[in-house]
Amino acid sequence: MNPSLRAVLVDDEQLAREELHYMLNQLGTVEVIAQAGNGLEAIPIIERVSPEVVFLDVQMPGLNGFG
Amino acid sequence: MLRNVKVDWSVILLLAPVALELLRQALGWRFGEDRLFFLHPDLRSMLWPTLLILLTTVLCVATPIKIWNNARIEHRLEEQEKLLLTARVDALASQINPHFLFNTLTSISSLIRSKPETARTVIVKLSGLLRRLLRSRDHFVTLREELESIDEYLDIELIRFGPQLKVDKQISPDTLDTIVPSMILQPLVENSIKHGFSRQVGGGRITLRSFRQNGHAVIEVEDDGSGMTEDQLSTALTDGIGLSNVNERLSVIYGAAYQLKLSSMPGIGTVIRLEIPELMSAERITA
Repeated sequence: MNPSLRAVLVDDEQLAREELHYMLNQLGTVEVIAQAGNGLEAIPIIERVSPEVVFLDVQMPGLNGFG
Repeated sequence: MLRNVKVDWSVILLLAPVALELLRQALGWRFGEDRLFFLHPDLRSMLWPTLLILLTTVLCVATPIKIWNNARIEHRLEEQEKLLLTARVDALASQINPHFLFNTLTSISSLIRSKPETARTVIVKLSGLLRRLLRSRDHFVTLREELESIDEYLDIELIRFGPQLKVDKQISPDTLDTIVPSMILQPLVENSIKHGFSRQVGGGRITLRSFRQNGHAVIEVEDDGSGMTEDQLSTALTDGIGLSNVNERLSVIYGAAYQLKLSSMPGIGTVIRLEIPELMSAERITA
């Protein structure tokens, strides 16, 4: 089996996050280890879990995907 | 081939003097030159009077034809311009923000697994919205109907964003029968949600307001978001699909008789204010 890529999802829309989560699960090679609703929430989470990849939405409240 | 022959007035006009001249020559041969206006044989032997007569004839015939032809071309141009204008309004009216469509479909796709009933509701609302959009090209609706389609749109956004999005309506009842271009408000509300609500943490409130003022119907969409900078304000009406479309569509329909204004207070929110003439007959505008 392929080794799993550890990922964090950041999107302000819960439904969009769920959908992406589902699609990544279908791939089987990406493991979603945490999720966040915006950039500000995401920073401490990313620092804590140190993922290999982060899926960032662009337009989000608080801190957007561009920082 | 004969079937394709059409009566072309310019050809007839051109042929008429030729025919008359031939007739005159024939009569001259028959009855003698002294009864009719004829070129004297002395003059005929010289080249320049003949040339002069030929030139005058051509000018006399060609000038009216030219004028007539110009008028015809101008008329046709005018008609084409009208068509183009109609086409432009159509094109503007039937544009939906692809981003909104994509986001909604993603939401539906997610809801199908977790809440199939809600997914179904969203699909019904979305198809309702699309149907209105398809009809919007030749439709002016009352503000009442327009607000119904806004409700449909807002229901979708409410499902996507959850209870964090709050909507207030302050609609004056005497504006409900005002005629508005169909689907003119949706981009305004979408803009408020995009710039006002989705940029701040902890939700937000959209306020829809309508009232009458100085013979105009005023519609305002207000958000309590982070507001816009001067730069954003100055480009908001010309850039992007949403607002610039609305602006162009309104200017094609109303000319100078409308106003679309954006005003913003940083940290307090943004107001989009639309002023249109009260109650215009639909026939005049769909042309």
